[in-house]
Amino acid sequence: MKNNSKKYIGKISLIFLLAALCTSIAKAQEEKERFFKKYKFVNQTEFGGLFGRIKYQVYYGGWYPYPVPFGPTYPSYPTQYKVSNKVNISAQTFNGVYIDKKTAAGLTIGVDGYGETVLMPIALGIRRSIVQKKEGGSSLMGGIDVGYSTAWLNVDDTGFKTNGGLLISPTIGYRLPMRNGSAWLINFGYRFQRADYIQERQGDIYWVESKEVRKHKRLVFRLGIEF
Amino acid sequence: MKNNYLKSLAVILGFGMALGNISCTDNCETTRTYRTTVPFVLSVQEIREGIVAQAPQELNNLGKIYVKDNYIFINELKKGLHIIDNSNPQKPENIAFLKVPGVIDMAVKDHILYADSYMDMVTFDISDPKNIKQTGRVKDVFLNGLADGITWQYQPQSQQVTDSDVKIITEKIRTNCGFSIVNPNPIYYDYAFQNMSGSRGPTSPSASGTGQGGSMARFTIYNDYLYTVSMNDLVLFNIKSLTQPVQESKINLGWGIETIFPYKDKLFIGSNTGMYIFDNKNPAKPELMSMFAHARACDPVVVANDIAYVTLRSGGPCGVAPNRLDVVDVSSLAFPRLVKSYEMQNPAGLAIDSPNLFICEGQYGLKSFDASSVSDIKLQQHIDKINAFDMIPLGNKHLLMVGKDGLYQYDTSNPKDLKLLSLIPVKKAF
Repeated sequence: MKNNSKKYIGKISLIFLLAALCTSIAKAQEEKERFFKKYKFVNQTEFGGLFGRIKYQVYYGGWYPYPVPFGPTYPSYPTQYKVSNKVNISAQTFNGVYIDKKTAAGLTIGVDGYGETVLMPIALGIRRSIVQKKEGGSSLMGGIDVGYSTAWLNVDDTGFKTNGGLLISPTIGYRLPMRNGSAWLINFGYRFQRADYIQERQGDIYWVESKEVRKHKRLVFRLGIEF
Repeated sequence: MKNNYLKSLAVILGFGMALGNISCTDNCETTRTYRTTVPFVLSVQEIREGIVAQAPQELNNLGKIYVKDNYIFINELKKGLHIIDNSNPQKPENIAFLKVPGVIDMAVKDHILYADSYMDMVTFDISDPKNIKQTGRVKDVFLNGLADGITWQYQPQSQQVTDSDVKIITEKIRTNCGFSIVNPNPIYYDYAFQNMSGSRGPTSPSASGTGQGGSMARFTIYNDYLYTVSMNDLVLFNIKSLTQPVQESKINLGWGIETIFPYKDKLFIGSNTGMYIFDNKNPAKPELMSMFAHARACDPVVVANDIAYVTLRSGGPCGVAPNRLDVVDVSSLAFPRLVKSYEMQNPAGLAIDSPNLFICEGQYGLKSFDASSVSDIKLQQHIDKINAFDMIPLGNKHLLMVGKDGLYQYDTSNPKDLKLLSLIPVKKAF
């Protein structure tokens, strides 16, 4: 019953929204044109890699993938870590408008892979030209994306659930304009990504509970295009 | 000019240090809680002096149950026995606790209770259940045992028993961020030995004056003999003199023995690869007649009217057997024959009270079937939302059932509508 009423409310509000949209569509068109005349639209689409390391605990020098057993017959071993380098892919598109001559603000949507996990960041982004020698020429650009990564594109193992989390990614890079008004982009930066990995299955005879907090800290290098 | 250079150098150095601090190393920390085993050693003296009669205690970690007259004996695994006065099934009363280190099994004849205590067999006088007295002990009869997936071992040379505790560990470890999954060191649980499956037919106690056990029982009394199955042996005790059993013989049965179930003058021994049928005409010397083999599975058996009902269930160490009920015709004991198989969810213990068949479906609850026709068993009622493991039919349309949450008693006079008489809850273990 509750669900049904919720559905109805949703449907009704959708109809109202559509009606409102229809009546104002002509007006909206006009407003849109005026808006984009005032604030120039910009799209930056980039592909790149996330470079970093993982450092994790191993047991018996990594010989066994599980902890040393407990009890009087086993000595305790010092914690040992294993380190390995990781490169993962990242793609994102920034859509925004120039709010002043040097600064663009907008929405960044992307896809980041971290091994078996695929996250989809949705972030607010700002791009600003820091140094530009001459009008219309190449420039040094700074940018930052802050937002939340969803796990919509991720598929989990049975009994587990991945949740996305905070994303902070400052970058610095070059904008190299082409004759047609578009530009090449080269960006370097840092990417902090939080995610959770939680065991959901209950009544397991081995595991009682397991919750992992992941803080991915990566160097990001991206190439892209702006128009 | 020089000053400027120094300034920019400082800025660059500062920036570098900040970057170094941030680092590009993923930091993933798992907080995990899991079960593992912690071994401990007990001296024989400690075990033998550890038997104490105590005031009633809350139920916890239920093991086997045994019924004798109006009393229910519930085993708290390796800790002791709870004694429940069930003269009024609507209001059972927890009256005493008998602390017995290492107790896994028990059986009663007349007023004598036989229980194991690690390597020994101990007898108790239970004529006054509130004041139980130890009457005898047979020393060093068992060398090892298995309960709840954990093995204990006796070393006669050092006079020590090594057992293990299940321990719940919570720890934080730094993992590799899901690039591969790191598992803890799990203990190997064998469901078959979890004491909570199995059941018992409506057959009357196999010797006069004895009580009734769940079919996961490894102890059973037949005439003047107490049969006990250890991990691979059948050990026979002569109990003509009730208080002082005498060990008579030991028969090797091979690996994986789970239960012993007496039916008429036969012994049905359940192993996890099949069902052995022993001829017990001479109780001092049981003889193997036949074996009904099945896939590796956990398989409690009940027998009634020459029909054996075997439930097979999958899951974990029970193997990949299908979840089903096998109906086996054992009228010709030398040649058991499969009549029909029925699909089930996750069947554990079962009980037959002709023509009604009750099956515990673990987390799926309790089911009541009409088994008047063996080839067409029909579902009559399904009580879900409870956890059902094992049951004992007590006669008079009265069913005793153990689940994870406690001891349930049902009135089964209407098999389509079972009535809950009472529930003794269990102290939440995990």
